[in-house]
Amino acid sequence: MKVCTPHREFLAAIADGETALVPADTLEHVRGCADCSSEVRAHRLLASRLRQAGTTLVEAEPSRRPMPLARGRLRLIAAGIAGAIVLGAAGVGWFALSRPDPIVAAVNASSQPMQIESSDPSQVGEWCLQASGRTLPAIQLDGMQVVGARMDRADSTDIVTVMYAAPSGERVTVSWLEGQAPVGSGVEGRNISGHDLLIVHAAVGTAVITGTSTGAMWQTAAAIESARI
Amino acid sequence: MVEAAGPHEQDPNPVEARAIERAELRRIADVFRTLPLTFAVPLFLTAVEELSYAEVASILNVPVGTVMSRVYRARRLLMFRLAGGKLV
Repeated sequence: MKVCTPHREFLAAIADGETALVPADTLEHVRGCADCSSEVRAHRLLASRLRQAGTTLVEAEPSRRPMPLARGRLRLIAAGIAGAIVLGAAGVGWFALSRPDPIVAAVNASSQPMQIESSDPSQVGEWCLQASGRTLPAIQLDGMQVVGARMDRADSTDIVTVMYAAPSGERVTVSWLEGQAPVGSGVEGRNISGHDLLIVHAAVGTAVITGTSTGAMWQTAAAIESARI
Repeated sequence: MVEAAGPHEQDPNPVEARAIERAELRRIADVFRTLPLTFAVPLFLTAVEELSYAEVASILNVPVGTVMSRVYRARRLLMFRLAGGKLV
């Protein structure tokens, strides 16, 4: 583990002036670390640009203009967010019918070039974390060699696809679907547009497996099912 | 004969500079819209609405440490996507 790693999650707070929330040893580390200081500056700059982006877009699009925020609006914001969550939950059924099928998007993604090529699972894992903002349930799968990864979006669903080489040399891709709660458990076989695929509903998440060998695909499915959070 | 550049030739054209600025800010906003809501909401409330982490924690009913973590992850994700998928 790099010496900076335990301090990194505090860098945004430092950039935002929330130093009361930051441990003293992190503040001391950042003062003497060029990398962390540089990242704090990047966070500060991005926050400033976001603020400007909000203002500029509001000027350009009056219909989106928000009301100036007063402290008394906090409850209103809270109520709005709570309402949005409720509406979002209620709309899931309708949305599922109208949005592009993430399974089809995953199959399409599996035939696209990798955006990172590496046999190092930790490097691929770090890339996936940065690309999707979440830690994948499983990168290293028993008996499979990581080859690379890519990130796609189908409507609002992030799809992170990791490519593997099986011991036989066959290629297999695993596309993890963001926000897809496991529906039961088990492996479901499908054929979409001539592509055989497996959908794994495992405790760790839902994944779509495609590949050039049915045997390697089932081996991958078994490895995912045995993976633990 | 080469004329000396006047002040208006040395400085960027303000209209052009403004257009570039707007395009850049629009791109930031477009990428921001691709963030998962879990990350986008705390980032919006802190960066745009300028609320404190404690206020955001109160609104979202989560611990302040969660807000801190989500704001950090949101900005990293935004930087990553603005950089075209390169590690930053």
